Amino acid sequence: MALYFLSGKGGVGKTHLSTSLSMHLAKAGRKTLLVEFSKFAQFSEYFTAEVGFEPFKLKENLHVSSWTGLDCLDEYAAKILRSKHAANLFFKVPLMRKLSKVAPGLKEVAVLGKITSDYRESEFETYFDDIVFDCPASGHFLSMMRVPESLRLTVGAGPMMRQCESIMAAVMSHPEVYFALIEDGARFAEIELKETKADLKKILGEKKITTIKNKSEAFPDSPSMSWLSSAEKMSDCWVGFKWK
Amino acid sequence: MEVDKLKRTHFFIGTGGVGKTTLASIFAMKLAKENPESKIKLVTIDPSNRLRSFFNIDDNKNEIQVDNLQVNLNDRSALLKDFVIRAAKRKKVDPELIFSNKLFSTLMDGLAVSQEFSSLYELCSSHKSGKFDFVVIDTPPLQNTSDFLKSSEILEDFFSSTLAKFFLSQDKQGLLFKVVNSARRTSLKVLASLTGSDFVDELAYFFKVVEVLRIDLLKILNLSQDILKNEASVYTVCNANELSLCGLRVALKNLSTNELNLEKCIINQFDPAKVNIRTQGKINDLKKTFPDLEYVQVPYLKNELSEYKDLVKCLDDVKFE
Repeated sequence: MALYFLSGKGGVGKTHLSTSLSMHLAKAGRKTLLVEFSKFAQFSEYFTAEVGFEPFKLKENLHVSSWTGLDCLDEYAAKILRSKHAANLFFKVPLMRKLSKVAPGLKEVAVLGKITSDYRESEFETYFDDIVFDCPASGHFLSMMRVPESLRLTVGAGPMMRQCESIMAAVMSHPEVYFALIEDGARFAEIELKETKADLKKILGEKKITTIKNKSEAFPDSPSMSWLSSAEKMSDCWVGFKWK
Repeated sequence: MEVDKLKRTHFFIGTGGVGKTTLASIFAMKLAKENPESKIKLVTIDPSNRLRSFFNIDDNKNEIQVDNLQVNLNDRSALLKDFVIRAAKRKKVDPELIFSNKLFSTLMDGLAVSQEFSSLYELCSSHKSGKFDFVVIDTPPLQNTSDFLKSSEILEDFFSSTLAKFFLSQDKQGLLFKVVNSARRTSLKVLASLTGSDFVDELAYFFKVVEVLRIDLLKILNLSQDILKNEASVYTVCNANELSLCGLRVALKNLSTNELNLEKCIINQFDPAKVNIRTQGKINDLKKTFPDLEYVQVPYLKNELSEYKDLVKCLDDVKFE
């Protein structure tokens, strides 16, 4: 399974490029999942469909999902506790529900844990060949990526620490985990990309980070088309694309 | 530009890359130009390179005065730190005790709530100082506009006393712990098995820390809600493209009526020659679904704005009505 993280400054075309990449992978016969992670899901609005936690089939080989931190936490709890009942005991208590909403870092770890679970726990193999993660914009993305390491340093021994360690190990060293930062040629998007890249390097160490220039020769803009048709058109731009 | 003189604070919110900083700057410059007798303040929280470049502010400075316009750059962690120190002092607690909580110090900065809170804190401080006739606040980029519109709910959840009480009660190993009902005790055990008991301890400490801040936090929340309802105008900014408009729609859907004094929805970079049918459809759709809001279309500005003189040139092109 390959995993793609795409981020960049707001408005540079993250969703656009993530969608076109997913379409490209799907066309190449890979079972692909396109995911957004947000408290307030936008995919339903983007795709004019009821997109939720469970994958929604958009077309042949291509599913989309909106994950909230709470969904991922529920699932993680059920896995770790090996029983839905025990998980319910925890999550259905209103106070705990409230706590899991606000406790620092839990949701970020849950979502990163879920997305990397294929690499970490062989028994939970996913149905998909590829997952494309339409990440939050630069600042929010960096905050999310920093959580496992911060928590690892904070919580001390225990299941949480092991989770954080295994997430970071998967993300940093698995050869099929790819990171891309996007800019669109605007001066400030370029500056922000450089800064984000430097910060991301501090988190990911040796991991290679690919940069993509949107609205360029390689990924031309088609402003007169609907966004979904233009993403479809753009999917061919990924043929032969070189990931670092 | 007509501005209600009673609305002293103007608040710009939106996701990244929609032109929030640029529009807030233009708005403040217009206010300053049209009201030469008034004192105007423009504050940006988590300043982007763009703002420094606009006002030519050195890297080691965070303030500049341009005639009757004062421009301030604040970052979120400095605002939070300032708040914690003040709140701790009022409670006669050493602020270092708060900063020493590992969860607080390592994660508070990255927490989503810290963005919303820093904006509200700045709002209250600027308001209380009373030195300015108008204050324009450019908020940090949101992941979704809904984050801000729902922020008081999220913040109240975050700082609700029940959470702190819960952890405080299990902190005392004696009698009180025994009366914590069994469902809660089970939940705690489950939490510990999920995360490790060190995490639970650290979390308990975290909420104790938050308890010290709670009263001051609630004060800020109440005051800022008051200001936002009665004396402020809130502008949401999005771009004239399908995805950005979808985002605004999600935000407005999440917002129940009367929650905020949402003055205007600004649809930025609107180019009548280039706008496609789908985008126009989305705009019409928004207007139909939320007919009570006022929509402003800001034209697409051909040249990329990077310096003060670029802003001055386009002052007349950008209208907020």
